[in-house]
Amino acid sequence: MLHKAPTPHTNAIFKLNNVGFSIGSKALVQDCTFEVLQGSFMGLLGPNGAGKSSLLRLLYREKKPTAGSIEAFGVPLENWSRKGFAAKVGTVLQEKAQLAGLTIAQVAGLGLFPLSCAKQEEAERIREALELVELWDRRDENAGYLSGGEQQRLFFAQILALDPEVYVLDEPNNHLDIYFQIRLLDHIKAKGKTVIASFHDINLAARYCDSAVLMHESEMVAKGPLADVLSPERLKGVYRVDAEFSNSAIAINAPVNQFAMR
Amino acid sequence: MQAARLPLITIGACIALFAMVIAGTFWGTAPIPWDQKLAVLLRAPEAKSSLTMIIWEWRLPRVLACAVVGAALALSGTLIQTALRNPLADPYLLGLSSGASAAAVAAIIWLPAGIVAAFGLPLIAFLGAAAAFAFTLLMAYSRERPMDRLLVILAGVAVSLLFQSFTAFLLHISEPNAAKAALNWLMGSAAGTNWNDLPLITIATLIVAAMALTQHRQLDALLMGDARATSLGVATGPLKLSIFLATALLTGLSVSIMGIVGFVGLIVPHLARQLCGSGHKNLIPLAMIFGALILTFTDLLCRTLLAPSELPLAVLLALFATPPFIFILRQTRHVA
Repeated sequence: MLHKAPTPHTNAIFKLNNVGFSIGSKALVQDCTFEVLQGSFMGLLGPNGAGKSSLLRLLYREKKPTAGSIEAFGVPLENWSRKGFAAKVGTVLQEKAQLAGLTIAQVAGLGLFPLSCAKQEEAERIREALELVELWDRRDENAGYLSGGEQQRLFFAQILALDPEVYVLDEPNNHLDIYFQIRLLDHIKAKGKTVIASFHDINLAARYCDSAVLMHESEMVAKGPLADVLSPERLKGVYRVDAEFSNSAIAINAPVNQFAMR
Repeated sequence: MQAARLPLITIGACIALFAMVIAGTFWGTAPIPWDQKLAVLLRAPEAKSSLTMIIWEWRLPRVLACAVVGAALALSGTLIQTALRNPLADPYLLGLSSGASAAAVAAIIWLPAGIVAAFGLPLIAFLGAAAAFAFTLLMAYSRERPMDRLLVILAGVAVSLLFQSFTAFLLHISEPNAAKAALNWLMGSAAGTNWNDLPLITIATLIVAAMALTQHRQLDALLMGDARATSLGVATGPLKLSIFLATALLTGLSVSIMGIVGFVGLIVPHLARQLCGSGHKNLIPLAMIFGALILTFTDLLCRTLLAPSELPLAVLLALFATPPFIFILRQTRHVA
């Protein structure tokens, strides 16, 4: 391409063009082309090992794509400064963490690393976020002793304290009890910020997502409104269930027996 | 975690360190009467010149060197445990000690004493450490997983084993006197340090400590894992590489001054963590003070317990280090 098409009025936050990522000869993400629009809540769906987390890793810049290109706010991802990008795009990700020796308040405060704000404001943001995830009363406790769900709430506190323009959430409901799943995602949805989140719980996805990308065996197989993406054929082919998605809920009849299908 | 107690602990440790430096200067293999001690230290005109020599040219630089090396090793240990997120990591993990040992032992055994003296054993040991470190980094290099902690640890272990067996081979084929000299060096000793040894490692330690303190939030973020740190905007690869380089520099310099001083880099960071938590802003200064304190104390014991003969540092350090080491192992099992 000789010249860039002028895109002054675009409201795409992320623009992915034929994005691929492979380790050695193993392709984890292939040919993903889609946009994440400003203010949308986009779901990233697919069965285990479909490549959802790998794709998100490219978006929060833990890995670099091996093919294609990603733009954020109209600027190629690699041109963003690390801190500048991290201040705009916050992440809750899936990775075991050893937090022993840090207090809950210290860990929450680390979420503010990309920002440079005054001590007073920092303390205020940490307090608000920790109150929301109901860990404020335990702020001086050792974060190493938290349970899985409490740790996940603490990582939510990090992103809520930062309150970035874009929320990248990898299986945000991991380890959370039902109350906090709904409480925290409702809170984020109400902010009206741009969200891209991977889910394996379709019903939870249906509650929040206004659009979705469906992945299967590292490739993107569908995008669009959730009801279109989750057609009975795709539920059968990708998720291997005989099911129907209607009225924002999935009704599952039976798993599809692979051998019977052939 | 124990924020209220921290200033007290820090002040107490500083006073103890100061007292230990004075004690280390006053006591030693040669007994010196009290009135002479003060006269010599204040450089009073009536002081005996032989005693002035002992205190100012032998003991004081030696005690200060112990303090600086202790601080440097504790700092290196703290940083490398963070970079590798491994409580069992120590500054020698990157192959530094075994590289230094192999080079020093080879020099003691093979090279004529004149050449060793001309180059200086410290320089030879430092070059050995640097070579082993470079070798480790080269083996850990991976384009897809830059600075992967498991790769670095495994490469470090492999390089250490390689150089260790080389050292063992050299000791095996050498004649007894050379082997004894080499073994003495391997067990670490502060004997024979002089003022010239001090400036380089002091400056290096202060610079690394200052840099680490300015980056204390990045270091804290690294504790949460590479992915989380990266997503917060921390350049994890370059940060870890600079930690490895700083560790190699400080450890290489320490080894060149005192030989292999084990355990300080492994245990002291844990002791400090028990008191002030893992936040690097407090951890780095406290670990350094403790490292200095413990090494000056151990060196004093090494000089006085069997006076007039001296014990190697490794003997007593291991005695001190083992109990807290087991205690820490028991603690970490609860967390994991």
